[in-house]
Amino acid sequence: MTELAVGSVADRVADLYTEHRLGLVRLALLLVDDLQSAEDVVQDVFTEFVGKAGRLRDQQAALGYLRTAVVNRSRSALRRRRISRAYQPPRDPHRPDPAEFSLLAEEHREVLAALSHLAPRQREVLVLRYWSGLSEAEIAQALGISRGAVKSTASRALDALKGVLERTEGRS
Amino acid sequence: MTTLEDRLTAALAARADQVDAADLRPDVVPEPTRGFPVVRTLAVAAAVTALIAVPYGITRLDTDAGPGPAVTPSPDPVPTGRGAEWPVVATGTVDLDGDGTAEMLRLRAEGDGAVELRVEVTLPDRTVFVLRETGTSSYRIEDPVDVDGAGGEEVLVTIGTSLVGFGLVDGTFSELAAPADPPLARRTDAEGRTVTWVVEGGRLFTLRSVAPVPADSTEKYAVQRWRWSVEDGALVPERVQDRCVDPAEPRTAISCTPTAPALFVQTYPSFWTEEDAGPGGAPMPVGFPVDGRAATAELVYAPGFGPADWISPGDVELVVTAGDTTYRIDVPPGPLPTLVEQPATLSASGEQGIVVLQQDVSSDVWVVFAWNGAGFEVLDQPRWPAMTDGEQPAPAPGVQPYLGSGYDGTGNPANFNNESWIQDGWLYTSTKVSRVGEDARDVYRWSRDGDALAPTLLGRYCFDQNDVGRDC
Repeated sequence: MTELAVGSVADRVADLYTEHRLGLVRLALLLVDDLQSAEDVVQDVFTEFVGKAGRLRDQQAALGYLRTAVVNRSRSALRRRRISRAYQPPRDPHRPDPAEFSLLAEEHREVLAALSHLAPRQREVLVLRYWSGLSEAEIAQALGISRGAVKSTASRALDALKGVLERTEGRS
Repeated sequence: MTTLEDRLTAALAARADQVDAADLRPDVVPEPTRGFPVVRTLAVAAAVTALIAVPYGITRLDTDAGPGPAVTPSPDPVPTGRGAEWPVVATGTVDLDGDGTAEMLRLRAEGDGAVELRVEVTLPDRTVFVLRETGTSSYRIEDPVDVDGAGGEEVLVTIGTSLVGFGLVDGTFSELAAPADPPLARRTDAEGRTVTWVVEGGRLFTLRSVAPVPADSTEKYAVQRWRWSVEDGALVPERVQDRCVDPAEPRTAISCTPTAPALFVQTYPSFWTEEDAGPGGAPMPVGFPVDGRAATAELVYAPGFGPADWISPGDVELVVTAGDTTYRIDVPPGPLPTLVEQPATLSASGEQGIVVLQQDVSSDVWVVFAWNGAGFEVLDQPRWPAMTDGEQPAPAPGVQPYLGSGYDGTGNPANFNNESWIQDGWLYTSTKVSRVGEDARDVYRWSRDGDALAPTLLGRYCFDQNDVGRDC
């Protein structure tokens, strides 16, 4: 096994961090709902990534790895939160939350609220497809499932989303 | 793109755009916590076996350098301390500190008539070692294992018939104490029971037969199992579910139920989607011969049906075409049906059936159509009594499974209580054992029993965040 020089690894991680941190935080935000958790997820992912960076083939492989790690860690964050009913996301009272949900247009709030009712896997597929713009094959790779499963999950997720929205809009 | 997809795309973009680079915490680029040698190549030599005949002695622990601040890395720190000059008799690699990089592992021993082993790991900034007096004549380096799942691997060395673990304890490389019972060894115990250790899913287990196993036995036998972890510098066993072992592969624990897989992957099945088989679209290849002929299947709606999201008797038929023969079978009342691409195995003889999945917003039931010699029939199965139009709460945890998916009464879709999937052709269902905490689930496999589907309980498994279930 040949390892990269430490300088190369550090430079490579720094480049990836600079280039992709914001995009990955946004991805995590769409999966975990609050900015601080999203930032924690991405920071943890990069910290873990340091030890592996020297062995990844290229920049694209690194981004794929990071994206998958963000999705997995986001799912873990949600899972922990679900188990711990008393979970309260940490907040700095002096820092305005730019990702305040109420600042969004009502139209978007309804869709995002409906999205939060979906099973985690369904939500991940929709976010990767309609925000990240990944192909079915790329989503399959990111989530470690078959292309057929991506297709069926997306179909099922859209049906579920539609149903939740119809019920929500029917009540209002 | 549909209106819904447009709405979703716009909402996701709006949400993501709320955060800009200026909103993030200051950059803290993670850096390697300690140095790597520049372009270092680890030579991995095959482990060799040496013979040492000495009386059993005590264990002494020592290191060249205690934990401290990282120092400037050197390509290969020169080992010092007792035994540093002993010949290397076996080598391997181990990621002792869990940084993702393998470190060199060496066993050194005194020359002929050696009384001690030196288990030595070369970290980039120091060499750590443990001296181990031993009363046996053979030893071997085993593949390292992250015994406690904490990230760093433990060094495992077979000394005689026992497996001895070494790892970092509070930064100091040490031998991990282990209890005498259950044994961490490969031998026949005083009661004639077969004892071995195995690595499953990256974890270390002891398997001990429930009863003595005759040497010429070819029958599968039951084993007790313990999973090892590391606590406070000691190896700690935890009793886990009993399994069985095939004498032909004595180091692989298998289910005592025939042909059950070692792990389960709850993957939602693939559909024959509308874009493939919409109105006028191609029917789905059934995937197995029907009455000896290749066949296709499609779902045909009654003229004038809908729009509706619930079907009544006579609304939809499964139409199977084999050669010039067509079989038409009513789809039972329920949510709108979808054809599942994969056929389901219904018995050990290889009999197969067609699966139709009826999905509601939050749950689904699966219907299996099986050949009865003259045509197809819907196999009877435990039906969810609350199966009515609209959103359906799943039954409480611990009840009989049904073939389908649904979530518990909390209203949280993530808490799926009843999950079904197809794996290696077989139909499986898991039911959640508890509402919170570890996702322990009872797993059942479905098979045909006359004109019905019957679930067989395979055991209790713990599922991870990727819906992969292993022994708890």
